[in-house]
Amino acid sequence: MPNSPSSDGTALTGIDLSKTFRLRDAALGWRSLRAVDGVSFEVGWGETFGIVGESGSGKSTIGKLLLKLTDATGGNIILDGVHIEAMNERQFRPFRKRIQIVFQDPLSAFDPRRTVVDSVSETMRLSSLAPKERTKAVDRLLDEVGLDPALGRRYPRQLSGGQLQRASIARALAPGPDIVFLDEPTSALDVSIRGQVANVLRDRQEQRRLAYVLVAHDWSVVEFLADRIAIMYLGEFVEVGYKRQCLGRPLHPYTRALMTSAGRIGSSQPIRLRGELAPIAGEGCRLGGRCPLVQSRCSEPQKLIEYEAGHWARCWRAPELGANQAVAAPL
Amino acid sequence: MRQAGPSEALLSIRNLDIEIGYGADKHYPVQDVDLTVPSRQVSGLVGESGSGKSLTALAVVGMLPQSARQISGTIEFADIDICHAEESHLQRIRGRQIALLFQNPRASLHPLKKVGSQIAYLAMRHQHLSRASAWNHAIDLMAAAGISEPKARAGDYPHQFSGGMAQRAALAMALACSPELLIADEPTSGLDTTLREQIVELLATQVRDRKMTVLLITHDIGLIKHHTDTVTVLYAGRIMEAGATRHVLSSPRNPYTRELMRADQQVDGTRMYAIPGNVPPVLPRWTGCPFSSRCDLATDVCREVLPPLRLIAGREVACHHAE
Repeated sequence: MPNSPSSDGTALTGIDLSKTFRLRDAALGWRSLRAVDGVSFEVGWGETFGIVGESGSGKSTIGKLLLKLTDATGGNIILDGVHIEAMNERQFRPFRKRIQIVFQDPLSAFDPRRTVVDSVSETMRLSSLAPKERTKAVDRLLDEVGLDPALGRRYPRQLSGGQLQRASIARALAPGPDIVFLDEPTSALDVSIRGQVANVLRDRQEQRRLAYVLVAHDWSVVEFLADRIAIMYLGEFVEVGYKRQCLGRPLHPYTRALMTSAGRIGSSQPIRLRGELAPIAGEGCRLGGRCPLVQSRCSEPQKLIEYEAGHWARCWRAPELGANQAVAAPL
Repeated sequence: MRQAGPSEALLSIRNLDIEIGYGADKHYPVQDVDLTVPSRQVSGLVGESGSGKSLTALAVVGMLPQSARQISGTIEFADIDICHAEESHLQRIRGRQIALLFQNPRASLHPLKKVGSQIAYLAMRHQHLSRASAWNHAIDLMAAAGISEPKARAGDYPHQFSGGMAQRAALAMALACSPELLIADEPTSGLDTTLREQIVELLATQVRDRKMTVLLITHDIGLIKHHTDTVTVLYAGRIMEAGATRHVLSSPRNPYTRELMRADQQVDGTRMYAIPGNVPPVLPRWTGCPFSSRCDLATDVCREVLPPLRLIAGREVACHHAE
């Protein structure tokens, strides 16, 4: 299992996590969808674990599992040494404040009929603070994320996307979490202010030693915030490693393809996929049908293998791809 | 781009002003915008949300939302005065001479009609093809748009299409009457990264093969850089810089263009670059430079006097300090 570098235990561990949805199809038959399929990871204190993938890869389902918004079909989730996967809602409640989430679209994440301050202080209602203290604490939080507390008295519609996303960070921090799940925190923002929010996230992490699980498709943000990265395709991690490894010497064709389309790979080794993400039958590589490097051996099941210390890939051709250094150097 | 000369411009917008709302709520999302789209070129319109780029495009086809009014300016498309054209005339232009491609393909496809019939309808309506030949035409277009097994897929409904396939279908629909001008408004924003390139490539080939003119509206500087001949940079309803893409992006002269490119690219280890401040959500009638509150170089003159577009280094720049 891909391990985290932290020496003093991990904030969050997922072991062989799976989630299968049962869907009713148009013909009224049942079929199952393996949204997350045997995913393992560790996130250390103060560390950011980035998950990159396209829509339908299962990134957001991981978030739902971690927050126990849906129950895992299999596997374990260990939050600071405690198994939470089998807990019921009552048992999990004390842990809720320790793991929080920031959503992609801040406008839909806030109640339009309550002021921002009201929404932020809601998460502190169960704390022992007196109402007055609570207001002070909220103002302090808003100040921490760089939002003028006066703006907090406004309604969500009256703030810009960037301001409102700062408010959602403040809300996520309000209960004093250890872990924050960031679900595309900058995707709904304009390029010119994306960095403001990314910087706030980084500063808060350094100050509070927060563990982040970051889901994003924007390489600049992943590169800026993440320490380690997992690339996800159809419910599986296809590559896991330190940022330097994954961005500098990607081992999996899918990682290379994502970087090619983001204009982040040298012209010597671009990989362009055919078609689009679609579930496949069989036990072989799930990218098989789209991958330009596909060979007969790809129809065998592919395991996540550690090719260099901390750098894992799920492709038998990884050594060959890794030998090719023709990649634009990150950072 | 202005040097192109009036004879070569397929679309020409002059002093376009659009207002929204009434009384104290009145605001001005598009202010004094000039835009020339030279024939058989790809022109880019780049800006952040709220810059007025989409409203400008809607004004071209006379499809402004009801809350918005065009208060002045002229729009000429192939010698037709769009602003004074009858609705029935506009209906004949839309789809046949000017086609639109939007960000969300599902919004431009009727959910209860077969994809093939929607494409065929355009050919029947505008080109008066028979039902059977329109259907075959639709299948050809879907094949050209990169949809595999077009014969079978033509009988499918939009919900049976994935996001990428739906955008291909929307493109097939846009191409149905071989329009002279294609307005593509964020055509790839809703798509996954690996699909974006496929769609843009497809768009580029079709445009070349059919000798179309394209107005590409996007917030993505990468797209502008690789796929447009000319670019117009909008900020808060006004043009900041306009000219040949290779000039503008290689040596931007307006501080906003410069900052936007920097925010797009720059990560320096511990800080990610961002332009300080926010795009104003509601736009007043500007009396100074709209970017002055966020600009490093701003002086009193920037805050008080609206910078006119000046010709500098082969492109037009609205900045008092540009040289």
